[in-house]
Amino acid sequence: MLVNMAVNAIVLGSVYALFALGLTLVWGVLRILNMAHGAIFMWGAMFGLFLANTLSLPLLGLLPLVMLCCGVLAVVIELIAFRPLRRPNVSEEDTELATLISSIGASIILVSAAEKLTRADILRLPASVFTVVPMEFGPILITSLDALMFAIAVGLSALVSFVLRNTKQGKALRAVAYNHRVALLLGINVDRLTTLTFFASGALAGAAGVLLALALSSVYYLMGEALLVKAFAIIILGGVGSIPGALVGGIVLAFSEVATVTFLSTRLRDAVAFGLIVVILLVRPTGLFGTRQARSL
Amino acid sequence: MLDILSPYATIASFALINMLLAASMQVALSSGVFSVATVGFMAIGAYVSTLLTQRLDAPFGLALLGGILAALASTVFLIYPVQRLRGLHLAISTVAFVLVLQVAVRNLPDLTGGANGLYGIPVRTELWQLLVSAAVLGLLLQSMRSSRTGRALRAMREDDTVAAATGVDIGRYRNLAFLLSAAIGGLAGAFSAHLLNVISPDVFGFERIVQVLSMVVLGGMGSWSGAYLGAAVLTLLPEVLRPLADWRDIANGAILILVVIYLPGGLASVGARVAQRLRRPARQQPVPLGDLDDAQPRSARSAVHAAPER
Repeated sequence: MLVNMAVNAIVLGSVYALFALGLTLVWGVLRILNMAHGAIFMWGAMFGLFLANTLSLPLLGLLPLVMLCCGVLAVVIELIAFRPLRRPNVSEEDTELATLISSIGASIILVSAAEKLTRADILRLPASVFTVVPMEFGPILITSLDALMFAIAVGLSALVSFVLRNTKQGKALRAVAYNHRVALLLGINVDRLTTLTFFASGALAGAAGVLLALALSSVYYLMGEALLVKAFAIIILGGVGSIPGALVGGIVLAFSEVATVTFLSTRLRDAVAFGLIVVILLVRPTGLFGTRQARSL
Repeated sequence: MLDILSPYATIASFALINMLLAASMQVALSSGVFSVATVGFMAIGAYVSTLLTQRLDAPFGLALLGGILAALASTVFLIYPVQRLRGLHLAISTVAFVLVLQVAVRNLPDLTGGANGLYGIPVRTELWQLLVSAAVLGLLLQSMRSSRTGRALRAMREDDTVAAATGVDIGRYRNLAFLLSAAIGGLAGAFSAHLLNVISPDVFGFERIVQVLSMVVLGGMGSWSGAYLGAAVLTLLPEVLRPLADWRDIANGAILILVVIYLPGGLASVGARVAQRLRRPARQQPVPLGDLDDAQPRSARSAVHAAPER
């Protein structure tokens, strides 16, 4: 039983991490806390539902399309709601607050649009998208969906990590994260990189949206909100901007949640993420993998 | 005559409570403390004051005081993170504070009625009490603006390193900003519980954070009057936008985005801007003193851009 619990936690945690990855990327590189990330994730599930119904594609055909749609959605949000706020003569903290508010506005719009479209119903992806086959490895029982989710989540994280480390774009991105203004002086096209970062973060959120919609067999207009708070916990746990941090944070959070449900009470499940945030911020505000020091006086 | 006014009295009461809430958040934000803990203080004020009136039959004045004191006491959990954290990290830790409280309230059914909340709270809040509170608070905050404390708090928001260098005890003033925010939030919570006669954990969550934050941003974070204005507008807006019915949320979201982009100082800054425009028509705006350090890289960059054209 314990082994299966652990396996479930790892699978769930890897999808949490996939969601948190886009958020941590945007926060770490651009210092934007994008509260619309949950809404983009939810729209991933919506796009998935729409595309699956109209084109009747299998999951592996559906996933790239949804990622494309969500990537574009994220870029559009950046263009409309965030780019006008990057003014040269405004202090960093004022810009942080302004983009935060603007992203809340974007989130409200996206969520209520989805509410109208679905009439606040809980919908499901058609069964044709993916056939779940139970698999058995010794004492471990998992489904083919679990295995695929884990593989996709880890694969995409590895891809992002590779791009950041080994390509010129990745190097430029790390320069922007280190210091926006210096990167600009070095001739890095910050606007284009911002667009790229947002596209990647939206695509990752979209992938997570389709996968979780399948795993929970529901598509609901509020599905992004709870996940957003979990992602905060994951990012703070792993360290802002850290990719291995997001993976480890996601799995630690999932483990704590599964353990809380098993050993304590189902009702306390939601408190786990918040409790984790408070403890980490008190003990080690930079997170497990964080490098940037929290500013101290 | 009061009967005719009663439907307006209800909406006015809501507006006044929201004004107190917005002021509570604005006090923190305008001191550079990125805190949304107001909603948590509100919850504490609401529950503690309700327990006092409902279980102990305490007079309303005492219940209000109890709510305020309990909210003040709860800042113990925030004082330490405040000193270590800045910006977004602080914001998230205060979001966590609010949500942990919400879960705690849900899981203490004996004390708080759990997820169902508490019913049948005696209705004690009256319009005049709210009016007096809002007016007194406004006067207090106004007189604080030009005091040593008010200047220290504003200096902290501009740049806490500079503020510290000029002798502002950052730690103490940050705590002060929190305590002020807590007292106002606790009072607003106690009033709202005894106005609505029912409270439940659902109304003290993330949505409320967004609502109060929107009010402050819409009105303008710079001053208490901006917060009051934003709260009044956003309370009345749903009534005004009633013809839009289904599109109200979308309109709300769009308003938020448009305000932060085109009106960074909030509604409160409109008057000042118009006055400035009238005084100096068609002249370039001078660079404000605070921007001098940024002016240099900007001109350097424009020189780079200008070079090929020459």
